[in-house]
Amino acid sequence: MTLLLLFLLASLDGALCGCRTSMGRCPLIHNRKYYVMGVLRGVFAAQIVSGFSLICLLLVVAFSRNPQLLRADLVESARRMLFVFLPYAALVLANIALRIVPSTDLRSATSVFFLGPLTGIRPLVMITGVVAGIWRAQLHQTVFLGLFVLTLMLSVEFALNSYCNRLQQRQIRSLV
Amino acid sequence: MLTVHWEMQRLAEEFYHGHRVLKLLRATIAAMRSSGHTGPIRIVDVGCGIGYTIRWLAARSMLHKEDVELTGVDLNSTLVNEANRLATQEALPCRFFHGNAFSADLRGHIYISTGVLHHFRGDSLIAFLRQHGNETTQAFVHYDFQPWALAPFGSWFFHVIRMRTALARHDGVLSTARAHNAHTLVSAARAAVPELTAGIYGAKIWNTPAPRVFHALVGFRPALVPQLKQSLGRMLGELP
Repeated sequence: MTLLLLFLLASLDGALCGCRTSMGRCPLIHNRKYYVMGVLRGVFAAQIVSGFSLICLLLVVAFSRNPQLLRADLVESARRMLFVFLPYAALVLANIALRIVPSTDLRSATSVFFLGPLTGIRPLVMITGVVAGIWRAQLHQTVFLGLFVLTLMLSVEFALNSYCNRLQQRQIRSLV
Repeated sequence: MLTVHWEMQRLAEEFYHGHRVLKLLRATIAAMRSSGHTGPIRIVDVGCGIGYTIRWLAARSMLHKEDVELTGVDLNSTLVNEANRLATQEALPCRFFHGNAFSADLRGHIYISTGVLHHFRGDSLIAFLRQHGNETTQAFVHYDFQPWALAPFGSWFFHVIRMRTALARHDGVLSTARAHNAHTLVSAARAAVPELTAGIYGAKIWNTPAPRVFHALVGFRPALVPQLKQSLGRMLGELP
């Protein structure tokens, strides 16, 4: 259950990364389809990261001298991570939900006062969450896996941004 | 330049700028029709760039079906070409022109702009506003950043998080630092075009002292003012 929640949070983070990295790159007015593609791209990237992380996790568990203890240690670490990630995700989702209210001021306010700053502190939240998870870990493998997944998750936005930038530059070159 | 303008459009999207402009334009057009204006109404976006506001109005409103012509004018031909390309791509009922928005062939009944006013200082601001003083002009709505103590810091933070290009980041912060206050704008408008009633629209959020990021310098033919005051209420401040 704990790992499933982390997977869902990673997918949500990927979706928002995909949306964010697509923003400001499509000047059309009817751009819903474009943003949906961006979100799906982000979700896809998160699946790759999650899949790769799962393979590493299974390999580490398979080669562990005490797989039972490692499994328990991983679950406990993941549970501690959720104490950081869940409130952050809840805050983000609450602000996105607020944008359903048909008030331009309220929608703008969620962007300026919450979603913008929350985006700004995202790397810090990820680092804090993983550190909180592995801080009391009993095994080195748990620490290694935590840092490995953190590196992968932090690289998602960078990779998506590079990809979207290449697409945009190609499009602009074709116009000029 | 296109990369920067595409990115800056994001600002207008996040602030729902199209919705804000449409609300004010609807009230202005209704007041014009009530006061007897029966012919076509031409809206001109001065310094339209890649034409986001006009394209948004064309895509999301029914103004073009109400005998309202949506146009944008800019001095930069690259941006005008891009605006026309984007409008054509989405089959939007609007047009963009390269030239002077106040020239005889491009002038309109309602002038709008976004983030243009702070580029004019002192006498240049008055000279810019004086160009509205022809018999065709019924109203103008010029949106610009609203200056206040925290605006440059807020803008810096917002742009660092949201913008990728160095030019967009730099320009956004500089614009808030250079923005005119309401008194400067209204004084300049009253000196430049005394035949139009000038004021500030949308300076505060709801009924609180909190300032909006953008406020608008507005000017209307005196005949339109009573109905506009009725329809826009407290949003229309400092209008005599």
